[in-house]
Amino acid sequence: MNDLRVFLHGLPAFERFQGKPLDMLVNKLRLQDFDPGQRLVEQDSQGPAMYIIIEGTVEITRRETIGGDGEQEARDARDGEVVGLLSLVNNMPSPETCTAKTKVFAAELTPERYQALFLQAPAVAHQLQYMVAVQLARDLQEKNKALRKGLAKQKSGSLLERLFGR
Amino acid sequence: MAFLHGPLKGGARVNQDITTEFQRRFPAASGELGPENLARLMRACTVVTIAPHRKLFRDRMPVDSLYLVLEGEMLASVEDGSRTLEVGHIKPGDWLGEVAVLSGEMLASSTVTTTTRCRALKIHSRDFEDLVIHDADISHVLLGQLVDLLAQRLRESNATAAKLS
Repeated sequence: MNDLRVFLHGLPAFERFQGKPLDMLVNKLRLQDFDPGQRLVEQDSQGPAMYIIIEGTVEITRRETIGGDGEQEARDARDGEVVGLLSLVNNMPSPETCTAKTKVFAAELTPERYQALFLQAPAVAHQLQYMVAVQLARDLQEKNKALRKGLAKQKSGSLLERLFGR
Repeated sequence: MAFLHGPLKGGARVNQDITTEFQRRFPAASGELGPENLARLMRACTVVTIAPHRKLFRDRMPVDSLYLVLEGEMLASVEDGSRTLEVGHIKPGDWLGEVAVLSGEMLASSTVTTTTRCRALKIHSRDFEDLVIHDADISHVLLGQLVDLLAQRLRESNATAAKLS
């Protein structure tokens, strides 16, 4: 438990926390192991939790099908990075799939435990809330970029048909 | 459409009438903030008036401020060449510019065009970040509001994207 505390305190997102607030966060996290190929979060489904990667590599893929051809982007997240942040927002399907690329050891925070942090360690909860807001803003930028690409690909006739059924 | 050359009028400090208007348009945030925090937020804002059919933001162009809409209606759209796709309606009680600032891109995620005369509170991104990062009481309220708003906007964009897929 003390190792997790030290690990979290070393991350830029949580470095200003110590003492009770950091202990409360540690108390709310559950340590999980994932085998290579195991899914943490699936695109277009509500994620079960947010994960702080302690060790290992998670592949993040994002498939966009706007405008016909499917396009897939991929990147890797490693130790200290957070994946599945939008799992903390109600009714918000994940914009990406997160899959363990190697053996992964991660700290899991469920939406229920995140909500409990607002009462028990509000400063930590607000930090996570800020991270969620930033992630939502980035995903909205990405989605609108994809919409722009879709506009460019489609002929105006088929665009109207898809949007308005005529 | 005019842009940059005079779409905004005002820049006046916030007076009691505007504070009352903010309380009417943003009742949940005002209630949660309480009088002292609300006064601090208002001190960081100026009031701007925007004529109808003006572009407040242009898709992919720099943004340096956020707006809290007090009066009027606007349309948000994304553009590619001559094509435009409507992605949302903006009304009193909504925020604008938060995507550009929070994402760190400082570029508009859509074009926002006024459909009627609009009035809004403007807060520079630097002042907004000061409040959100250094003022815990205000940050708690603003972030709660922003997460709800951003989530709603993302759901709308997802729905538009689904129609195009």
